[in-house]
Amino acid sequence: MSTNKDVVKDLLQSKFKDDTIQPSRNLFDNIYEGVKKGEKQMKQRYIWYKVAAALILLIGIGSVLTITFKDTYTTTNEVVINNEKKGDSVIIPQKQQKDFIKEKQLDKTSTLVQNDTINLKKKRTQKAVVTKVLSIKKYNASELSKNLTLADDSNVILYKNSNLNFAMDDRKRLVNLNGNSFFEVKKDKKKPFVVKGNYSSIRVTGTSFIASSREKNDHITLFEGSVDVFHTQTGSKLSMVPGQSVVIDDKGIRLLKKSPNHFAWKTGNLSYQNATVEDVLKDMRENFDIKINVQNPNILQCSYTGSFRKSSPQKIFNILELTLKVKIEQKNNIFVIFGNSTCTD
Amino acid sequence: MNKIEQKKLVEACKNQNRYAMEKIYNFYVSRMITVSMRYCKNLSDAEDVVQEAFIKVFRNIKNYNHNGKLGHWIERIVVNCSIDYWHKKKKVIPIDSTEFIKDNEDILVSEYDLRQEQIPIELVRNMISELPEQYRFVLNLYAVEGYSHKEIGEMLKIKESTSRSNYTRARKKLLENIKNSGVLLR
Repeated sequence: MSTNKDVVKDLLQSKFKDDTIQPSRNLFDNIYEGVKKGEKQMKQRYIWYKVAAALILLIGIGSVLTITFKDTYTTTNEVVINNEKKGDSVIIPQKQQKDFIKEKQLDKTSTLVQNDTINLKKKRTQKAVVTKVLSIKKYNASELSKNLTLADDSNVILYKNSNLNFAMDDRKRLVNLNGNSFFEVKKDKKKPFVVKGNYSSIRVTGTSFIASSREKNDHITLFEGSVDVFHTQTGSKLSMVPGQSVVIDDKGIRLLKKSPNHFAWKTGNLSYQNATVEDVLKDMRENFDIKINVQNPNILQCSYTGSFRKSSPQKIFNILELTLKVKIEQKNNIFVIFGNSTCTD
Repeated sequence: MNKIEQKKLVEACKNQNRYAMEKIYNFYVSRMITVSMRYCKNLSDAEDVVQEAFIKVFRNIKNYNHNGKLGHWIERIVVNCSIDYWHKKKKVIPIDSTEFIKDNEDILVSEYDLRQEQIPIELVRNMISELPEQYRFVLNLYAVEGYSHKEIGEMLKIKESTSRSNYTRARKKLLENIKNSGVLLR
C-alpha cells in the first residue's frame, strides 16, 4: 500500500489549490503604513551613515593635524638648562620643568638660561616627522623610573628624567628617545623597531638593549640580539653584537671598551680611570636611587681607578671600604661614609 | 490579472504607488490568508502574519524580477513569515515521538477509500489545525507547499530525518482523524 502515491498530499493540494479565506478586517492601511515607516527608517539610517562618515573624516583630519602640531608645540616649549659647572646641558620637557627648576634653584650653583634653541628645534622637528602614523603615544618619567609596555608589547624601562614618543604603523615602529632607557623589543620582522636619538638611529627587530640620547652624544649597550646603528648626519652604519657599547656624537660612531657608567642602573657596570671618588659617588647616587653621606669631604677628591661588574650598591661599597680604607654604614637607603682616608693608597 | 497588468502594477509598487499596492493586496490577500491559516491556529494570528508578509513584499518588491509567478513569490514570503511567527511564539516544541500514534502498522484508512470530493474543505482545515504544531508545519510545507524534507529541516531548524518522521506521523494522524470524523467511505 505504501507503494501508492501520497494520497494525503494529493488531497491537501487539491483541496487547498483554490481555497480562499477572506480576512476579517482590512489589513491594507496597516500594511501601507508599515511600508512607509520602513522607507523612512531606511532613509534615516542612510542619513546617519552620512553623518557617521563625515564625523570619521573630521576626526581623521583633526588627529592628523593635532599630531603634527603637538610635535612642534612640545619642541618649541623645551628649555635648555645649562649647568655651568660641568658645561653640559639637559633638555627638559615642559612637564618636568617645574620639578627640575625647583631642584636647580635650591642648588643655587647653576643658573637657568633660556638659550637659543633653534638648532635643537630643527633637529627635533626633523625627528618628529612620522608619516602614516596610527598613533603617537608619549611617555614621561620625571623623578622615578617607569616600566612601560608599548603598543607592540615591547617592554621599556624609562629611566628618570627621560621621555620618549612611540609611534607605530604597519611598516615600522618608531621611538623618539630623549634621555636614558632600556628596551626589550618584541620580535616582529615585518616592523623594524627604530629608536631615534639626537645623533643616531638604532634599528632592531627583536632584542634587548639600553640606549641614551643626551645633548652631547648617544650611547648604546647591547645585551641580546643584534642592532644596526646609523649615524644621522653621515649615514655611516655599525652592526653591534651583544656586550658591545658604542657612543655616537657629531664625529661619528665609536666602540667603547666598557659600558657607560650612566647605564649602571641596568648593567651594574661602572668603570673609572683616574676619576675622583666624587664621580664614583655621583654615579652611584644617580643609578641606584640611594643617598650617600660623607662625613669627611676630603675623601671626595681622592682619585679612583677600577671597575665594578654586575654589582649592587652593597658590593661596590664593600670594595670601596677596602680600597679607600673607610667604614661605610647602611641605614635603609642611606649610606654613610666614615673615616679619614688620605688618598695615599 | 494578466502578466502585463501585473508587471505594470509591480513597477508602480516599486515607486511606492498606493493604488497599485492596494490592487495587489486585494488580489492576493484571501489566498494568503488561507496559506497562513494552515500554519496558525486562529484567524487573528493568520491576519497578523499576512500583514507582516505584505509589508515585506512591498518593501522588497524591487528585488522581484518577474521570474516565476508573483503569487508564488508572495506565498513563499507568507510561509516564511508564518515560520518566523511560530518561532517567535513557541516556547517548547510540544512534540516528541511518543506523544501520539502507537506505531501499530495496521493501516487506519485504506488509502483507496479516500473520496476527496466527500471531504469538505472546512474539515481539512480543522484537522490540520488540530495537529501538533511541528507536525502541522512539516505537513504543510511538504505536502502543500512542496518543499523537500531537506529544505524543511533548514527552515524549521530541525533534522531532515525528523522532518521525514514528523511527516509520516502527521499523515497517519490526519488519515485517522478523517476516518473518525465519519465523512468518509462507503
